[in-house]
Amino acid sequence: MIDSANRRCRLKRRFIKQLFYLASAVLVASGESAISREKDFTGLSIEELMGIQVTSVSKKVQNLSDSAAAIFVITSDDLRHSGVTSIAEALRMVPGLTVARIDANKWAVNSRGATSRFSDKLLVLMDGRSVYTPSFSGVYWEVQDTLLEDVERIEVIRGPGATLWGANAVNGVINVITKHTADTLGGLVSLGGGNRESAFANARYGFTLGEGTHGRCYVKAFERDEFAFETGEGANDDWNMVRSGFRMDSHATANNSFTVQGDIYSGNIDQQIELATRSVPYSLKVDDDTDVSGGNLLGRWQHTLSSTSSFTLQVYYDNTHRKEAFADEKRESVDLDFQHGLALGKRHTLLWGARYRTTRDNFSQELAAQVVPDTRRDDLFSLFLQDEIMIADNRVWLTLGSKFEYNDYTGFEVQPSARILFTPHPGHKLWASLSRAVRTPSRVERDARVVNRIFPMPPNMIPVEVTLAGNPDFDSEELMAYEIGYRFLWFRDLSMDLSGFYNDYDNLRFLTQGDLIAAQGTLELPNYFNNDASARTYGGELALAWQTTKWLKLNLAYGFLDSDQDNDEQIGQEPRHQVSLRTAIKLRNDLDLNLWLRHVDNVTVIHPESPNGLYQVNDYTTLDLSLAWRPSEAMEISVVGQNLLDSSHMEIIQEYFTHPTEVKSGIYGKITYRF
Amino acid sequence: MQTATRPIIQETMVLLVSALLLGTICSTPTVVQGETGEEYAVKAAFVLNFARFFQWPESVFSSPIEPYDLCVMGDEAIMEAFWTLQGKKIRARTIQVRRAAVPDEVGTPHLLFISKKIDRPTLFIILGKARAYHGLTIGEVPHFTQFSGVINFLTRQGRLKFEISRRIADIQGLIPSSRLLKLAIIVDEQ
Repeated sequence: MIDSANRRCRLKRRFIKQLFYLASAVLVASGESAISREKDFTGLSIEELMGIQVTSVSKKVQNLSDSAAAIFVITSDDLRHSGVTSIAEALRMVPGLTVARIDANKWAVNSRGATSRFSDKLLVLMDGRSVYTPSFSGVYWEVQDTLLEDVERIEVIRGPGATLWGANAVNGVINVITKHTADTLGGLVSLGGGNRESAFANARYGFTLGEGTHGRCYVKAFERDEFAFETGEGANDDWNMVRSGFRMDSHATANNSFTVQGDIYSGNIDQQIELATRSVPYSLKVDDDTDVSGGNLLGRWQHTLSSTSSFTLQVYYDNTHRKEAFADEKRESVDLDFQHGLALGKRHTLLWGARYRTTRDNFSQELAAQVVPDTRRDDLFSLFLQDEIMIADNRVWLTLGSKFEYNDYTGFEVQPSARILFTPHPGHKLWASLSRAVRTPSRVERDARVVNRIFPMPPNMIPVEVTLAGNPDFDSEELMAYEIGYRFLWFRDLSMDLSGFYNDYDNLRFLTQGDLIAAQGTLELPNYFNNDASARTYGGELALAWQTTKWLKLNLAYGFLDSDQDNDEQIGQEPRHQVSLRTAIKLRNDLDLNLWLRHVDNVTVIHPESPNGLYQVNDYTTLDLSLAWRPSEAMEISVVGQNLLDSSHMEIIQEYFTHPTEVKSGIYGKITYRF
Repeated sequence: MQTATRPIIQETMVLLVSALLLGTICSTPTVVQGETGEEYAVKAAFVLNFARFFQWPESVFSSPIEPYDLCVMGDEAIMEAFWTLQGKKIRARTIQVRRAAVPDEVGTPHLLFISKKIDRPTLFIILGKARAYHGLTIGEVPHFTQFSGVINFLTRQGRLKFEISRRIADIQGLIPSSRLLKLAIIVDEQ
């Protein structure tokens, strides 16, 4: 007790010292007031202009989107300034998303709702490739990565996107888009390390293959250190990953463009888990080394038929393998997608498409989890049709559409939506939408048997296995979503995006305890999945981007979220308030300072180990800080501090297997060289 | 073991940050002025020169002081660069910059810059209309001149170059100066 109080005191002192150093440095820097202005080239001749080396800077002020949906864009500048080292961490910028780190290598992400490792209503795409796993309809965030310097933007749509994107696009769609290869010519090498980011190295080279044809290759590797349990003891969750990939784009002819890209990765992800055993002590701590690997190859062809009609054909293959102590899962998927857009007359823009996807998995049978049958192939066919109708000339647009999908679990699903966009003035946009989306059953919900714990039951002390039992009748979860929004742009410097929603969920997953079943010397107490729950969530989000002066930009994101649940003992309580404030200060032309302050309200998480089945995680406030200096146009040196306001804090815990783990503060340095 | 080493790592890092800060503050900026520039700031400056070195048919101006109407289809970052051209003088005329968010807002400008983010079908529509009003169309996508655009920007070794289609310029009734043609990549010899 005294020890931990002492430790906290020491940490506080250290933090104050760190702040002091930085504050004094900032003061000195601003005292010099070497704040630069954008250079004006309008006085130069063409000959002079042709000699200037140009740098491509992405959007400085967030663009006002024309979509009638709650959309937020993370730009490549945002990524660079924030100092984040993973896609999941970057998503903390987005209002309305709940991002919580479970341990050093696991994240829980959801949109407009309580989150968990197994959050299952998000569709996540990387360059058009869907990366959620049909095993539990969630995303293994730790294996979704690419060279962050090559990411053009991350588009996040809160709310359903099922009409265009299909099943699982219930609470939101996250689309990670990498840069066109024409924008990544030349070499890039970056190296660095610190206490949490033990060591990392990235390299990319972009080249021209011919007129209108460019390519690039990259390699990325990192080693990340462990976090700690509440006791301060190491969590044994350090991990490492190696990844490599390529992309090639070609405008072969005026009417055709092609893209081919692919990635492979392999990693070791450590975790300490609690596994049930059939004999004394009925539970064992296991230091597990999870092996993950995978790869994908994607091809895309865009063809322009006429000035008002063009189509895209995309096909990809994706392979993943994950071997952990309680499951060994292999999966292969092939996806074929066609989209055709055409203008009909002056008022209609029609978009339609068809998709076929097949996925085949293979599970090992372990004591902790069995999936029967151990291999299964599922097909999905879908069609969508959407018409954007201009009702009043450049003022009001109505978008009507629906997706028609056939899947092997629930058969035919219809997911329609209606959206309206009203632009009373180019700087003001109002929108409203009504949409239906479904989350189709996952493999685990239908076919698995997961052993949560085993306890000896008196008087005979026969072990009883408490299980989660798949239900062949488990049906799709449904959502009706009502949304409104308003965006405005004040000159070029201030933009605001407001949105509100009411989500009405039905047929939500629920667990019902069944009767004891006797089987081969043990008893089983199954908890069956069924669709007996319903819930309503409501809330709103605000995103404000303000370029106050040439050298100071503020980005504020606020999200409010509340819910009304019929069976709240099985659904966690989401954070009601979340705030993120990013401050980007251009101290000098070659010197950037970025501060990122975040506050997340307290949450309640499902945790069967706790006496009442729930676990309360306190609210937290934290700060990231990054400083980048460019001594020459080719080189950048940066130092990033993460989670600086405390030595560690808890954000969330995983429902099963792992122990509550705290996120530790970290600091790393990085050198980037471009040539 | 680890609790003992961590403060040392953190202290070292803090020292490093401070040293880096002090180092950067005491040093002079080494980014050489005039050699690098943000892409669109440079492109905007090019566009100003294009206005200077192209000749429009007399009929498109109602008076010798009527301003050049420069329309830009691009996002906020691009607009920010182009606003710097607002009010710039070329002989007796000034430049008036405006933004078009949709094709219908383009109107009949003297100069039209179209960002690479504009999709192909929209690009076709805009370029198709430009013939009617002698518009000097400037783009930044491959094959822009094949779609009947007049000038196209290219990046070569990190520097900007531009292509001119003499055929399209001719059709639009626009006459480039010989100085401009000397610097341009001519995509079609007449």
